[in-house]
Amino acid sequence: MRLPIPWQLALHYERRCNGRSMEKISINLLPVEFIAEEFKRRKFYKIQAIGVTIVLFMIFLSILTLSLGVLQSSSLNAASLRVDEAEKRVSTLAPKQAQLVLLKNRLQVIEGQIGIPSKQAEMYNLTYNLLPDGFLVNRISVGGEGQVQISALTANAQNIDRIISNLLDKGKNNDRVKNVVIDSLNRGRDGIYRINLKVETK
Amino acid sequence: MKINLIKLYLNFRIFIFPAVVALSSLILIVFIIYPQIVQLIKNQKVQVDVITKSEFLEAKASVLDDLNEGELEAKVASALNSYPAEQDLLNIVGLLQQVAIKSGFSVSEISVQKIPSGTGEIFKFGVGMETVGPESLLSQFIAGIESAVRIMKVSSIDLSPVGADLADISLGIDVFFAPAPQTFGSVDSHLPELSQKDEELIARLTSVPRVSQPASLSPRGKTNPFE
Repeated sequence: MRLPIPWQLALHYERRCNGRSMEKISINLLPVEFIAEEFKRRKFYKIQAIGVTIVLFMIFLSILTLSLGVLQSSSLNAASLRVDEAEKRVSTLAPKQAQLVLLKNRLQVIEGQIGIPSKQAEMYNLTYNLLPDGFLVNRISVGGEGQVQISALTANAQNIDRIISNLLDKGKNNDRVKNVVIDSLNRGRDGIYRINLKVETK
Repeated sequence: MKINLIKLYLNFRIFIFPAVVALSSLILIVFIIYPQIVQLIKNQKVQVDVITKSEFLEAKASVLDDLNEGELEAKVASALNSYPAEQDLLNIVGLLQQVAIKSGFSVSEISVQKIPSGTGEIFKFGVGMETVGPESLLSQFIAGIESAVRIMKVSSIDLSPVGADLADISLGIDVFFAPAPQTFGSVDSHLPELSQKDEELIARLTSVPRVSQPASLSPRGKTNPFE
């Protein structure tokens, strides 16, 4: 038989017939306000559980970060101690460091200077080797800038041409000569040419 | 009052409780969790720097420990022999005399031409030398001066022949020196490394013995010749 079920009354009935379970009938006689209150309470319990979980989680995070901070600061202290010890060790070896720095400082300059001829030496060698035979030198001077002054005698005018062309020949002068200037040239009664030359360098 | 509070809580606990939870979480985050995390990140970087520094210093100390002090002193002495920290007039006089004799020249005069000059870290003083010798060997003589272990450069040459392959020669020579550096690096500075070229140069410098200084000019003989 089917009965109408009002909203405040749940009607379930159960009949057992020959051991088989049929429909169940239960009647809730509680007042409406009570049911609503019960619903609110359950909802609050859920919220309470979530809230407590959140608080516990935050506390756990706080403890975790504080512990990590403590661990980190202790390892940082250990590393700082290592640095202090290493610094002390290096400080006691400072004289060796000073010697090494001085050695390197000197070697850098020596390397750039040793065995490298000066401009003056190069110009002297160049000029001297280009002097032709029969060109008698009275004086050769090489100045601070590498310029060469030659005072010489020769009986053969061709020697004068030869020395000037030698000095101006780029193949022979290693491209070091900028200019050759004849300061004076005269021929004596004895037929000897007296010449003063100036060789300017680049 | 108390009962009213309890009633108020019971009526609005569904709002009050979450607000309390949120507030306490916020307090924990703002005052503990966030600052600690920031500090952890900062300290992590500092820790990496500290560890790197300690490894660098330990390696540096190890390298310095391995250096033989005697050998290093000998190398520095050779380098200073070539390029000293101050004017070494006696050493220069002896060296120039040696080079002159080797090249077949005789020295008539050696003088210090001018007060030291220099720019930056390199200083030099001028030495004048009057010699007599074979004109044809002057190039060799000059090469001997400039290739000597002591750093010297010929700054001026004046040659006047006086006979067959004989000439009066006046040389101006710049002799280099440099005061020692004011600072030799700090604990944190990197050590200079000696390259293969440096070692070869050191071997070349150490192979040449230091020039013996010329005999002193003190008077000889009895203090009272009439005794």
